[in-house]
Amino acid sequence: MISALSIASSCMVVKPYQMAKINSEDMSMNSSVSSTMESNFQSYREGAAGANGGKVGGGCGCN
Amino acid sequence: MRKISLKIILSLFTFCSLTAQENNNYKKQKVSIQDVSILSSFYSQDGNNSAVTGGAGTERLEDFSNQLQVKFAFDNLKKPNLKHTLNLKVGIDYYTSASSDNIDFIPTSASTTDDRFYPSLDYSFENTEKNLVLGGGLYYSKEFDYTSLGGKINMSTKWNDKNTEYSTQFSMYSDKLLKILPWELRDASIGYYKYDTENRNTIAISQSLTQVLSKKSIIGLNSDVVIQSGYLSTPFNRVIFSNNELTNEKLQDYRLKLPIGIRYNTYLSEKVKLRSFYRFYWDNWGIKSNTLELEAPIKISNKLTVSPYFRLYNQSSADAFGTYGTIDPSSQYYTSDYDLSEFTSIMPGVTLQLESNKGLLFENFKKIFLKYSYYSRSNNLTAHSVTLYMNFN
Repeated sequence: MISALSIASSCMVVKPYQMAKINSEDMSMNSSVSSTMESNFQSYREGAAGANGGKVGGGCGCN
Repeated sequence: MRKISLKIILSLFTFCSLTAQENNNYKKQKVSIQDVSILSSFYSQDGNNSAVTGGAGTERLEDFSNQLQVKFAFDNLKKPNLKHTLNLKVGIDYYTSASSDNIDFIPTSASTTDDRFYPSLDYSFENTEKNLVLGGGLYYSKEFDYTSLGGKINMSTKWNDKNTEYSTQFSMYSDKLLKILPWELRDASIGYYKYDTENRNTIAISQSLTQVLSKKSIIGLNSDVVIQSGYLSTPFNRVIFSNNELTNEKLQDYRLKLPIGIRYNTYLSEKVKLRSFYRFYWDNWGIKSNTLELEAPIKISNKLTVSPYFRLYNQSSADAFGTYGTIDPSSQYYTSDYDLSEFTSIMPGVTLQLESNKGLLFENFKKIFLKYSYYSRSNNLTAHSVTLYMNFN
């Protein structure tokens, strides 16, 4: 994560007024709202969870 | 009398002035409902490897979930760069499960039903001048045999002209579950419906880093470290050993999960975007998995967007997993829960979305979408999911 931070800081800079496309909801770095309910049943039906902003385990009788 | 009246009037005038001053201070803070959204889904599955019956038997289940979310904004009119947000969410799930009916083997009962109630409250404070967000939240969940209380704190910051963002979150859950054993394993002397309680605790540290690559593309890295301890088995899952002896599932009381994911979103053209996600997962129970998700929102018109979606998932088996009648009775840990077996799954889907800043049927009704997904596992579990979402602001 520290290496990624260093590399990230040296990328080309897009000015805030040029970020209209990046700031649209479809470009969000979070899981889409449409996936919220699906990530719930996936946490029950699959062994893996996490790294997607959804359930990581605990809080329910899921895996 | 006139002097007394004058004194009374002057006192009243002074009091009113003070009150008005206090009211002016209160008017400098504005509270508003920023957003209201409703999310409902219907999920239906079927298979023939139920863990309740030792890895063989119906897995039929239906779940109807509903969530209501209300966001409140507290704006300080004297300091518009400071923003406070309160997010209240309430969820109610209702599900029926044919396999849960087999915990007790009562042949004349309808499929077991249960409901789950889960409210949560999140608060965040944002300083737009310093590009800093701090927040926290509380979570509660209650169903018949499972109660959970959780909390979290989080922080995010941006720099590099807001091109780079780092976020971190620490969360904890303290869970209690009723140890409902399969009928055959209960102690009749203390009563078939007297259950012990067990504890389960979860700690998770999440980090994410996102970087704007160009005016049309962005990349992000997410990683979690999750530690679970306590009673991590499902008490009513049966296991049939190779000598035909019946017992219930026994898993380790410690689990370390290490998922790491990468997201890449970009514009393929003016009207077509691509959202992609890959995750690698490892845990100390022996499960390794890969997840790939692709979604392509296509703007058909100013209001209508169609998003085809595809998910591919595979996982290796947990070390403790064994099929019906194959597990060695001398094994330290054992389960026949096919959710922890080796399998591959696919999930195609499509979302239809209508959105308008001027409102759809009325001014505040901004967005509605309907999503259908089909889920299929290589060990014969299939499911359908339909999700409806509406947003008002």
